[in-house]
Amino acid sequence: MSVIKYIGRTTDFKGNSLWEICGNLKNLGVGRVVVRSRFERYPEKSFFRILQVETLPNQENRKIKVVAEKVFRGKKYANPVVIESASYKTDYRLLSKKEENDYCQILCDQKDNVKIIEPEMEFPPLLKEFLIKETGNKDIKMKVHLKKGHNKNHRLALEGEKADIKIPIDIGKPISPSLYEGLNMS
Amino acid sequence: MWKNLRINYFRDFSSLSRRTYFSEAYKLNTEWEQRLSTPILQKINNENLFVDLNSKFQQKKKINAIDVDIYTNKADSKHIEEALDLVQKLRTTAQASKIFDSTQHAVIRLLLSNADLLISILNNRLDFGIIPDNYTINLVLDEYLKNKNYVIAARLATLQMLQEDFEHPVTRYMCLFACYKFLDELQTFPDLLPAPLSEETETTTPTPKSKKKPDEIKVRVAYLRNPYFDDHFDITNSNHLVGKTFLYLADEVKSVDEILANSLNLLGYALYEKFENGNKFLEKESKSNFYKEIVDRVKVFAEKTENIDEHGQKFYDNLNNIVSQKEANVSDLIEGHLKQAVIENESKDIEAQKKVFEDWIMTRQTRLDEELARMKRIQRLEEIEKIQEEMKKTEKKLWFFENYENIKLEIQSKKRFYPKTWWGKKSKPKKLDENYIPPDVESITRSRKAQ
Repeated sequence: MSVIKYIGRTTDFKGNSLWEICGNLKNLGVGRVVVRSRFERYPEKSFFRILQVETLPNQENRKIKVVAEKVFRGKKYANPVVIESASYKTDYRLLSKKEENDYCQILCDQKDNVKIIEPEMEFPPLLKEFLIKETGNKDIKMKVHLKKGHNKNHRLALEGEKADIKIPIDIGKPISPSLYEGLNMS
Repeated sequence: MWKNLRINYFRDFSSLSRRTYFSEAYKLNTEWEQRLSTPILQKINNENLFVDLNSKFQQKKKINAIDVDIYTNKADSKHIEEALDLVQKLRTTAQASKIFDSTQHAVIRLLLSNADLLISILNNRLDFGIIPDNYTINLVLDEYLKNKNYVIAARLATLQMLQEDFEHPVTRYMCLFACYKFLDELQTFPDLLPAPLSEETETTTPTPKSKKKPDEIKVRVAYLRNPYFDDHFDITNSNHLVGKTFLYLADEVKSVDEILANSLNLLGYALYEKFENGNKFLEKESKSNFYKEIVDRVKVFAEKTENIDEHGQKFYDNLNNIVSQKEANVSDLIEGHLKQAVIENESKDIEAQKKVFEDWIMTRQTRLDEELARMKRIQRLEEIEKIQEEMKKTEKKLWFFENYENIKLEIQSKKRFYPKTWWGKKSKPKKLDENYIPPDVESITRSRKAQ
């Protein structure tokens, strides 16, 4: 009796691929809600509501083109997204119609969890010394450049706003403090 | 048409006769046959068409939804295998999402008499994609309920449960009736029976001290899948399937008959073996009404099952705490609901379905025309390109002497200059002879001075 041993890359995914879900459903699952297990680690709810499905030719790990409404971490994206290149991932889980109503209770207010970052930070120590020598200004500060991305969870503080987060420049708490013994760290 | 509406169920037939719930008119056989009189399907010869489609698929790996639709609608019982083969091929292409509703209906009609094949195709949605719509599932269920084939009817009900679609009242009650009657002959569904062991494994006896590992076939896969049981499409236990169907149906009938809903929930939790949820349900509904017949049935399950864990034990014990049990013949009750639903919905459905058939004929024609127009366009574009190329060639020949200078310049510009390879030798660094002793200058000059 021969045993089949599969050899391939390991993944953390738990679930089925989108083809395995939509291929089993009437009308290819239009109108149903699908959840990715990897997104379930966040406290906020994330799910996809399927709007249109287009099949692609057969292959190992078959992909399909799905247009869906995306809700990620409690926030709904304004435009529907296309899931094609991630549709092969065996990470999706179908929600039954009963579960949908309970699960899809979003949404957190966008203003609640915004982290406000102080727009200025300290220079690195050596550079600071040089700058103090050159400019004479002892209190010179560096401007923080925040990269714009999809998530609007962080933003710089506006004029007169109180910031939640200050970006530190010191070492912080070292993992092995024995290496820093005797040093004068301010 | 109204003359044909023989309302059978008002007569008092004995159990030996075959009693349908819908009338003969529901099958809409004449309207369905009308599709064959359309010009498209009249011209088709199934054998030739299959050969064409098969060869085209083998060459290009492409097949059109419209072609498969035409084949399956024209097919009769001789062409079942070929029709299924084409549907499977369509499912592997990008056109799988464009499968026509009429194709699915035609295939199910072809398989109406062949229960095992029908179930295996309907269950294998990934490979075939045949999923019945409301009218079709009513038609099929009616057929099997008429023949009192409750095993197949219950299997169909479980398939409907997987789609979570009990919207149509007739479907709902037919599924409920089928599952309830199936309880009398509870067995593993024939398509879920484990495959019989092959003879080899039975006859070979394992050698006691063999150090040989079993033959390992290593298969390379892109990604290894982590084990996952989705508790819906993956369920293979017949009892679980039927139990889950009862749970869904309980929610559907709650607005109509709460006692029935409660009792069905009990049945569902017991069959599905979700005793924790069952206990929560019983705690909540301990003071509600249940049907005695169903409670007794559930108690019978307790006796039949061998290993019951603590949750199950608690569940069956809690059954004895049910206070109010109503006496009723549940199967007659369900049948009553079913007949009521049929009366209310039959004529509406027939009218709607006639229109649907007409729409299908029209869409088939329009899609075929679109497809032919598309192919003609492609052909014409190819021909135009050919003509354009030929024209260019003749133009070159005719205008050669006028364009002589330009052609020379063109040739010059097309000349490719390659960087020259350097054939020279690289100068090697001076190699000092190891045994070379530099002359002693002082001694020579001294010797010269001495002279």
